[in-house]
Amino acid sequence: MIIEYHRPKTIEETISLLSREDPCTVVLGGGLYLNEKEKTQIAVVDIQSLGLDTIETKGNKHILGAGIKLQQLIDFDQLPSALISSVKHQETYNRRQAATLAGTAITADGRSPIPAVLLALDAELEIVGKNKQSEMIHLGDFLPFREKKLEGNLVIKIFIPSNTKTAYHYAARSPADRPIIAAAVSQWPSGRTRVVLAGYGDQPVMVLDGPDAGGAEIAARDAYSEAGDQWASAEYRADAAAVLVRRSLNQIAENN
Amino acid sequence: MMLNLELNINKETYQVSAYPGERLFTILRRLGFSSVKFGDEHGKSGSDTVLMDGKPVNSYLLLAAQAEGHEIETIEMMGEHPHQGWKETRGLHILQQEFVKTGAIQCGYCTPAQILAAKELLSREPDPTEEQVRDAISGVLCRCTGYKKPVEAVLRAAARLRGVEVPPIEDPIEVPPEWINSPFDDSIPQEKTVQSIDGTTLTAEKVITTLKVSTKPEDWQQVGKPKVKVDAVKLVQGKPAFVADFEHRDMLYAKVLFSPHAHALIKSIRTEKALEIPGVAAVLTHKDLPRVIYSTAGQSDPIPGPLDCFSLDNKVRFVGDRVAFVAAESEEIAERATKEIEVEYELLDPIFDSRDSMKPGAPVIHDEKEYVNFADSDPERNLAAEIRIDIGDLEQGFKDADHIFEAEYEVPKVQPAHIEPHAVVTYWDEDDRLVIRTSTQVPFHVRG
Repeated sequence: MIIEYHRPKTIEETISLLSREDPCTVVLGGGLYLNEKEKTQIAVVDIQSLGLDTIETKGNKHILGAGIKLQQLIDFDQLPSALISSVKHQETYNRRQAATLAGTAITADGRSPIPAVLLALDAELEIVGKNKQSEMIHLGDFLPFREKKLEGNLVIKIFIPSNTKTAYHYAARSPADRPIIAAAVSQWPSGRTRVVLAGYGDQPVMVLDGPDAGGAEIAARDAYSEAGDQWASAEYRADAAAVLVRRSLNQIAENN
Repeated sequence: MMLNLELNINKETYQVSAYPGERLFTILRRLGFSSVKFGDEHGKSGSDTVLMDGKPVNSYLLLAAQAEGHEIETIEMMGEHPHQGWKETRGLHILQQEFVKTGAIQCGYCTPAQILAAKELLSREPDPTEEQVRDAISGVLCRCTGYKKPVEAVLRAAARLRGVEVPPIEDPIEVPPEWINSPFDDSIPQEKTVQSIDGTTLTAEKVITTLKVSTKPEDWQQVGKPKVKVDAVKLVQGKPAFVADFEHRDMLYAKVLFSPHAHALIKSIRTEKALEIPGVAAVLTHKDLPRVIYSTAGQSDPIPGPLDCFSLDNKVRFVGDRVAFVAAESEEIAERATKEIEVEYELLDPIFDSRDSMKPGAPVIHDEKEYVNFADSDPERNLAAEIRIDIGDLEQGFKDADHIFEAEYEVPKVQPAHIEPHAVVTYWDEDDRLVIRTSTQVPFHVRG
């Protein structure tokens, strides 16, 4: 239950509110997750007035404001097409107007397409906290400890590379349904290749980050060899993971 | 702590008080914007769509406080009925006109949301592709139309708004020449068979009908001509047409206490604490209602199912079965009161598998003396229905079959996911008749 609403105009004011222990105070991005899920008494800090809805490109990085709405990613036509596909896959047009990028990333579960692609892109989060110092953390290091990392802290930016080839493929009951199995693959000009699987568990999993794509299919098959649940057997997921990784790598090769 | 908010809705300013966690949806409904419909709590159905700064958003997922400082738009500001007595109006918006003309409306529950989403699309893309239209309305679930007609309506409206002429929808239907053949034409094969190499029949296809279409439908007054749905103009404006849209002075709100147990007797039930809550008008238990047995099955008469339900009983037969009703001055008070009802259950052996339910000695779920059988139902075996349907000579069919496959098939319960929730409004009218307004396909069950 939401018992307080705040809309600060500065990062400092936001951090000050988030640092309170009572009432428990959390960030309100688009609100899709909090407004839907929250059962305990909380205060919310709406970040819509903080100016965190910008996109810029510097060097080999796209710098995405944490409060940017998912539809803004689609409207900005320089982002990897795989990321755009994952956005369209994850949310309808309505929800894309409200959902923020950071909110979507930090509330990821295993079947979330967008965090899977961000993880394949080796996205980094910039977080500010009580000491007003900013910290950079890779999404892969953040997700397992997200509750702890968010205590009194605010994600302000997400950095993704602008020089990768990225692909995203999935299988689901219907084209608009959440994936039962998904693969996101990024390849850097150096040949560095990151492979991420989604469709199962608490969060997407990175199965390969190597100097090239060698062993990617085997790694994918192994990573989901015990990923069985009510949606699909582990055998199916392991087989399909290898196929989707192969498709992703083929697509990247064709685009080179 | 209440927040005092200033909301800009349809170009007008509203001063409202809201709880910090109160949804924009709740405020809009309270202000009388009936076009904004409740579909779900998750933003999946989209019938709660409004435009915020021109963009479609789910008002149930948005706090009212989040909307302050933004322009909210509902379909109430888009168009009007073209004929209001002697008064001339600006009429319906072109999008609304096309939704009416093309037949893009069936139940109409999602129609205002679809039109708002389409309006936003056409404001940024005057000449959209079909894919763009489908993406723009992707946040609005339509269960009735299959999207074909709404997409057609949006594309036609887009063309008209660009000044492009569209073919009149009233034009005679272009009839493919193959449709025009008479069903009695000897050239049409009435039965088509496929035979194997050894001459045995593999499949047989019987032509049952051939469509007869007039070559000159313009000669006819009704047949072959599109008709506007009688309530389309009302629905396309989001007028109050659904159960939850109707409110009466001093109306009470009802909530149900549901059973947490699969099979149990209610040993005692105490309502004093619930009744003490200010604003609670009544708490009803099985002790307060006559035992009228009925069936929830079927849409016909005779009812195709046993009579095995009571509004409230001293026994609960599934998790979610009804235990008590509360009527109060608000939904929140009624909900709170359900939590203050004290129930002592005597737990009975539950059944979780239909096969177990028919075994000798299984717990009997329906042991009420008022139970009325239907056909082969058997409450002693927990059997609600047993149906065998044979078509043709089965024995001969099996004899003739090259292979016989036997298996047991299970099908899940199917929820067709109607977007309008179950709702009912009742009141005593001026002739002291109880009027029941409810979302149902079986009015005579409700009447019974």
